[in-house]
Amino acid sequence: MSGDSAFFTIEYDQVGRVAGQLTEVTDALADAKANAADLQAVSGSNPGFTTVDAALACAQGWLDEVDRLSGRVDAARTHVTESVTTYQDTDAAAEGWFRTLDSGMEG
Amino acid sequence: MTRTLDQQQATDRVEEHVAGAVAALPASPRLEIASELRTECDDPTDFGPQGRIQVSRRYWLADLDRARNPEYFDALHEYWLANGYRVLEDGRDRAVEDMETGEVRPAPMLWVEHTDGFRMNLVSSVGGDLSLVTTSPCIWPSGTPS
Amino acid sequence: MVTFADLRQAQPEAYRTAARAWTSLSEVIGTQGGAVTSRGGELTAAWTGAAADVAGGHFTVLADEFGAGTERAGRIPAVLDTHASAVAAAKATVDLVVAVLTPTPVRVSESGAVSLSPAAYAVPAMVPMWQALATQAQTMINTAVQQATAADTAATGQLNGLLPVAAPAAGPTTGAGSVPLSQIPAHGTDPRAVNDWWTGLSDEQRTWLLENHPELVGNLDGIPAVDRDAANRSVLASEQDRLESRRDELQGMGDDRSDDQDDELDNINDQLTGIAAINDRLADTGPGKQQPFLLGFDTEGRGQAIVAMGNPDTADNIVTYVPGTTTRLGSIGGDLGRADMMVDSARAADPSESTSAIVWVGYDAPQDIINTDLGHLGDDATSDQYAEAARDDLDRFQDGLRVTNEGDRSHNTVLGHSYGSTVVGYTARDNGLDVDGLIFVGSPGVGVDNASQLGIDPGHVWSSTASNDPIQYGYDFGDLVQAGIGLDPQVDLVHGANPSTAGFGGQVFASDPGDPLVRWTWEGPGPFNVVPVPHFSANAHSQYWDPGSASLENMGQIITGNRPTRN
Repeated sequence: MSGDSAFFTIEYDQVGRVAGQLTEVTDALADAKANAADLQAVSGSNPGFTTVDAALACAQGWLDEVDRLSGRVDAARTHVTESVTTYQDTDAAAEGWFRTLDSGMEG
Repeated sequence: MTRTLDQQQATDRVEEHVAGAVAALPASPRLEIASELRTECDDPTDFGPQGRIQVSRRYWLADLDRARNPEYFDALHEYWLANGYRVLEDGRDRAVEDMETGEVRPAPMLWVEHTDGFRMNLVSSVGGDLSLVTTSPCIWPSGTPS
Repeated sequence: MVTFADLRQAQPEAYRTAARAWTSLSEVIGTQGGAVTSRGGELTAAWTGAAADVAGGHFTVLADEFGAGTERAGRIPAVLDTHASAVAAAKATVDLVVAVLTPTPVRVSESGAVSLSPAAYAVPAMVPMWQALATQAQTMINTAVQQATAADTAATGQLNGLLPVAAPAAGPTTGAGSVPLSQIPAHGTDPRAVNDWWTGLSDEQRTWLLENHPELVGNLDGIPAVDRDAANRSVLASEQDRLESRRDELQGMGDDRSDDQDDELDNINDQLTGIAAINDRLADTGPGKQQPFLLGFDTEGRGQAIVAMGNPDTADNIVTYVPGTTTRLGSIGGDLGRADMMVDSARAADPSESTSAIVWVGYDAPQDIINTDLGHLGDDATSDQYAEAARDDLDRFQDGLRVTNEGDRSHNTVLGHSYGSTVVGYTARDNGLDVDGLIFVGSPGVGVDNASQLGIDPGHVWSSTASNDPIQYGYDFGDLVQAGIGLDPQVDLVHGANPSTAGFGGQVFASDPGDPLVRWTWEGPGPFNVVPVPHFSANAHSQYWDPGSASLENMGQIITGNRPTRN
């Protein structure tokens, strides 16, 4: 099903599918985080080495960054989905209006 | 040695040597100063008296015909030998090799010393640009150790 | 600072385990970035219009963020693996020393102090042997601990520079363009990471840093020369004020000064001499004086500075000059002059190319040829401790030059004079130097037997020693003893084989002989000048930059990539 106007062309099904597939990205990032325990393998070892603290700070920093990227992808997915809904609503309303005119219910 | 030329006298003498050399050339170059530098004669780890310097000036001999470079070198060689300079190193047949490309180009050089201790070096760059550097002997800047 | 005990307990494998986890994580970020790109492509294939354009653009931005993330995080495993290797090697050394000493009466304490136990004195004739063993063991332990500390500092710096780049929304929180101090890379951070960080800042942020924290950015390798110069000139001015005030205060105390305060005053006056020399050169616009760029400045200890004559970021040729014994901020005046001589010589050799000559007083140099102060025996030019401590900084400085140089790859050489050549040799040997040529003048040895051990084509290793330079007689005492008792005929100089000999395998170039080592005069009472008096001079050790000389002209040719021709 597609929508057409002077302002846009949209294949609703296809765009909706893309939005759905974005959850695969956020899922993959979540999996990567869950499997990243070894980033902190240096914790509790090598006393006296400041590299341990730096490595742990990096681990925390990048885990936070993965969260941030995941959040950005999720926000994009939400907006794409909302866009589809909006266009579909607009499109359906216009179609319904013209059908009403066609059936002569309005003068 | 407890008395030398002072810095100004040394610089003036450099200019005299340069004027003499330039006048001996078969063509008139435009003199363009490349550098005016002074070097310390003594090292902190040396045991001798500190504070002496050497002054040197390098002039580009511009607007000359590169093809005549060998002629310029020969003219100065003759002039110097006849005017109290002795040759320290004669590199008139010298060529310089570019280490990356292997290209070899002529780059003659002639180094002389006058009886007053001043030295002059006529040098060609790899591209044939001539420069003349004149250096004083070690002097106390004020003429005496201070 | 890493201690001996820390090193004994170290577990380098933990870093490797973490490194593998980083590789996995950065790969996932990369893969998902690819997925974002694909989805973005599918989106714009099925949707057109103004809204679609904006959405498509957003997906591109998002994919770039993933790309930057994978690239940056992807550099972390190498840092951890390198650190693990360095720690493992240092740990292996101390473990070996402890194991070797266990059956002997030489003891190692928990803090790594080596000493002789009472049993060592049971047979007096063997005591010198135990002492020699103890000395060597202590040296090995100290070196390993230093190396572990250096590795720790470097890895920490690099990791601090590899945190995710703050997204614009999460940027400065105080003042326009301010940068949180914790985001400024630490000294020792990889120059590529520093450069990425610097170019990722806004103009406002860079200006803010130069105005508010020049001391934190002026000495970072990887920041462009123009910016380092701005930062360091600022630091120099404020340090000059501070030192002058403190000098006036100390002078005012007169005889009430303690010994320590006397030393402090001497140090301040010495550093102010160096600062005056730099200021004079900054103001000198005479012929042949290229604009100086202050790439480093620090008043800690005896003070250090790095001054480039001509902008190295735009130069075709760069020579970094590492001076030797007695080098410090206070002595930099003479070195600045030598740099100008090298620029002049390079221009005379090839005026079609631009050359920058950099004075690198960026290491703690020995201040005495032989230190006879009982508390500091061995802290002099016979010790390689100064060369070892300088390696990482010199290596990183050269890497920084590569990162910030614009246009075609520049022709870079490093020239070491006297102990400076030992510094260069050790760095080349142990760290590798990203250069096109090494030049040694007046060298007491560069830490190797042969030019092939310097990590560079021996055809690009150049060395010269003037025939009257006494440095060539500084033989290694141990080698002399061995040669004397017929064990090994090769007698090296104090820091390695003489690089100015054919047997070294490098390229020897000519220097003029220099002032004679000994000059005799006839002196005596009254008219009887019959007493011959010798005058010793080591001048030949320092005449390599004499104007018109063979050595200076040859240097100019090597610096511009030409084979030296003077004899």
